[in-house]
Amino acid sequence: MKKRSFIFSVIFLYSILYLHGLSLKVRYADHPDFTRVVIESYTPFSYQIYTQPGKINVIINGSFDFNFSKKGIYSRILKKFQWEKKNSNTHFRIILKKNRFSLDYFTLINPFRLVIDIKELPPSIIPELEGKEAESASYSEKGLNYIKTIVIDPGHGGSDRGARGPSGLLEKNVTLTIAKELKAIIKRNLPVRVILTRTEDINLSLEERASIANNQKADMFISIHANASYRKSAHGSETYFLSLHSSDEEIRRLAYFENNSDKLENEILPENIEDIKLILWDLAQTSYLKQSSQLAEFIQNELNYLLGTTNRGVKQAPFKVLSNVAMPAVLIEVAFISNPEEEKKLSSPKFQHQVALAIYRGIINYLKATGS
Amino acid sequence: MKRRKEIILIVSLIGIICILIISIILSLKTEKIKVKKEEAAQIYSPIIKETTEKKEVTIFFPSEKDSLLYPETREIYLTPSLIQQAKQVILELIKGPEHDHLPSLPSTTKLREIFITDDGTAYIDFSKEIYQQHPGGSEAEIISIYAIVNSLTYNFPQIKKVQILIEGLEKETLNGHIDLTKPFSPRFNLIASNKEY
Repeated sequence: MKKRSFIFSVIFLYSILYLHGLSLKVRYADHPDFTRVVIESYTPFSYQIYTQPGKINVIINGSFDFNFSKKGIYSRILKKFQWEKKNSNTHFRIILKKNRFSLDYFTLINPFRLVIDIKELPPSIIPELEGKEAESASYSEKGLNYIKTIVIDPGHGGSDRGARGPSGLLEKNVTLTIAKELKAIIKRNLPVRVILTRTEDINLSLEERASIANNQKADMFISIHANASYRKSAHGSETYFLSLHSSDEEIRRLAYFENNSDKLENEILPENIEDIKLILWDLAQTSYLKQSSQLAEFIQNELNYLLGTTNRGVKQAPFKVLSNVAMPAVLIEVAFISNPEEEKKLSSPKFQHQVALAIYRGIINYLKATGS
Repeated sequence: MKRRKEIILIVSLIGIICILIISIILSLKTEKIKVKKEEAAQIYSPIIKETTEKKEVTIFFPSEKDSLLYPETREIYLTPSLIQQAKQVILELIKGPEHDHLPSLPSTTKLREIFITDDGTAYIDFSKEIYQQHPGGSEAEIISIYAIVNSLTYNFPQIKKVQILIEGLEKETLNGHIDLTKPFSPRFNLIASNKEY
């Protein structure tokens, strides 16, 4: 008897574990301007998503059971969930109350989660109202209180069109669209001021861009660019932070000023102090290099994840626009506009949104890691 | 009667002086223009003295493989002047690759002049084509700049830093990315076989 009950209990435990392992948990939540559905699994799965009016179909490789509340769905946009197993695949269907919607999805790990964000597309958009509603609403991230202002810099503009794709896409336009999208995402989720160095197709010098950020006392500077190369096959995202030209000399100069600043103020005539300050301003970025490298790291991780690349890392170069900025600052090369495939991607609103979302997640991860 | 004569004399004197001044100004201007034309003709064709002795140098080009710089060797005339040797290296760089590599500078770029200071900073003055015909983009800018900087510092230990000038002047950037207002130190970690440096 004892032996039998032991075997039974083992089988029972195993079956629970087995079922647990292969059943997917589904959660959902309405946010001010989108609804999030999360499918959580103990083991990673591969999937495909396609949409029909009013329906989202998720095809998951492998046979899974679903585990979600049967109580009925209370959501602005979700109507119901359906699932069935077909030819060793599992088909999960999200039925919506609205036909017109936009979709964004990504995966997270530990545990593995497929996150699907659904946004209703109304026939007529009233942007002002939408903005206000979003701003006052979903601030849920903790420990991000210390950051007040983010400056986003869309690269190039006006007569400086930046690089040009093989079929004519202009860098200056792509950078502006992505910057605006990033601003919108940040404004929806964080209670911070977001300032664009330019909101239109105008000329703006690199010094003016840096001084906008410095004058606004921004806590973060993000310059958005699209890359170009002599190599036709060059592809992928890169995040840069500043490297000093002739590191030895500049670092020595900086160390000298830092170590002797008290002495200098006493010894130097007041009319010359302005000159010294100008020289220091020229090195504004040097005191933020460590933070800038961390910010670059977090953003690059998210971009790698989005594009499925791992070999591209954070890079360092003496970028003019970064050198005069007195705050953590990075320059993002979203993709290569000189590569025909990536040019096509860069022109698609979906990719522009995904990139903006990846940069936003990088910012959040940086703030969480370095914040209070 | 006397007065009239005096007035005529004064007026004619003033007239003569005016004509003289105008003619002097005009002649000065035309002289200046002539000088400029001569200068321009000289600048765009650096004269390299041919010598019997030659020297092997290594210059760098990008490749389709990755974003690094790949070496190619060239023979230059072993002129007594370092500036003349440096000019030959830059001219070879502008001519472009001979092997399965890509150009690192627009082929229409012209070398205007090279100066080398006592502390080892080389000033390389290019024509405006270096940025006007450039593909733009950070990677292309980094490649062009470090192909120049590495090619010079790799071959000539006397050259420690390189500053790029355009049409005789300091320019902020080529096309909005890398800061050209300060001299560059070499970055040999951008050379394909030298990654570990």
